[in-house]
Amino acid sequence: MSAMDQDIQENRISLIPIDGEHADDNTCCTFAIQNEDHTMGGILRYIIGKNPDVLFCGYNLPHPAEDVMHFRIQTNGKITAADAFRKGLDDIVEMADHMSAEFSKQAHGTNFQYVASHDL
Amino acid sequence: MADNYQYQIPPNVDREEFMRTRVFVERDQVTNTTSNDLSGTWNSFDDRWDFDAWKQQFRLVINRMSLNAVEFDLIGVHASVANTLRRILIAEVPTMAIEDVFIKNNTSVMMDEVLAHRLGLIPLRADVHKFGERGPNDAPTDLNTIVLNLKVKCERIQGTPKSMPREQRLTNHTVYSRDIIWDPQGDQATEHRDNPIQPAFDDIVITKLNQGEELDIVMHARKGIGRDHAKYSPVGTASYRIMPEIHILRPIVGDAAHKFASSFPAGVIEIVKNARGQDEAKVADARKDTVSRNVLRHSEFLDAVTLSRKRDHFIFNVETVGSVMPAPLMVQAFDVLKQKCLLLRASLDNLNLQ
Repeated sequence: MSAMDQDIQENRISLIPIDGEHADDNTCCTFAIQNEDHTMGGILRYIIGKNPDVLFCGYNLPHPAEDVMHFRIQTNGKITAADAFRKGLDDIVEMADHMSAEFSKQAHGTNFQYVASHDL
Repeated sequence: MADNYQYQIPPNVDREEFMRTRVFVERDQVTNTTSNDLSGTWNSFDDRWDFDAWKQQFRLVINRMSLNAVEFDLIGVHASVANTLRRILIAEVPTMAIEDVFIKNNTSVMMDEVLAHRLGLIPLRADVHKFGERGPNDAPTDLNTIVLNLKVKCERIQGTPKSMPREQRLTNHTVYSRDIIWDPQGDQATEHRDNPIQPAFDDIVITKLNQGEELDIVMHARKGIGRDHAKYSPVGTASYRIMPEIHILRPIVGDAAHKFASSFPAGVIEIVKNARGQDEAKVADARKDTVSRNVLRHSEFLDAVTLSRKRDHFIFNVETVGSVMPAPLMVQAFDVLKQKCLLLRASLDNLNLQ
């Protein structure tokens, strides 16, 4: 049941070192995130890509047998990659809070039709 | 196939806005689907993330709700947000389901493991928030396990002849989910007094018995997520479609209007009388369209209509399995997204980067 384990040690982030032209410093790095897949990768890529100081961000799942996602962020130097990651996570939390509040508000309102049985 | 088909952007709209916000539905393909939202893509449009600007144009409209399903519109979000929400609904919202099956006696024709598999798939109505996860090495406690019993024996009703059909000759000839009895442990009786734990539906057929066969089973239910096993998924399915749009480029009148209207599903196109008294086709409700592009099969309409989809308008349809009601389920789904982000945040801080 490790997919659900709340222990932080399980859901770990580590860094993958990449050699070559774009050598890693604190503005370019690849994070290896355990126990995550497209569910978080897609939305993180979108939100972090919206950051004007981020030059590149993308993710991939190297192998389906391993429960690991690689997420790469390259910034223009004004902020660090870790800061861009943190901002992205905070933005998603803000967005999720607002959507949840909006749904609850609508569910307690009367703008919709309550049907007895739902024929799709 | 005539090769003079060209997708036309409707003349009365802003071209760049149309290209930025719509998916083009052409005769043979769907184009302009790639994401163009990354900051800096557009000259005239600032695409950076701005929560307040996003909040202004975001709308969530519930269309219909019932006991086991909800249809709502999510307007103003990107496709990745809608997809993440869909994936969380299917695979990451926790529920309780039977995991361990201790079979004391099973003399029915159904094999033990097949019976245990069926029992695991039965949706249970239980308040998931009151339970914690139980790891593989954890002992069962009243805070992480539900104990359920199933004890059924099929017997012959005295005095009935063998020629009568089974249903009238035997008691308990079919084992239903209503025969599963919750055995409250520890504090569970008081904790769950308002919402007693039981299978979500009474009439799920588990197995069938013949005269003299019996079942005596103890089951332990645990908290889990759909990613681990599909039995934990709280939705039959959760899906979305993207809002279709129909633009009529030139007046379609007379018999052509009727043919046009019949190329779409009922209710999409309506026929009205125009100023000259002719029947003219007008778009009534594009939402009902299933976008089969049937109209583009007819060569006379190839230059008359432009089909598109609005990139940021998602029509969600969430059908629950019975263990959670649709409204609390959606709130839980948003909460799961938030918790995943907070967990990643904590892990990132653990890395100690600048």
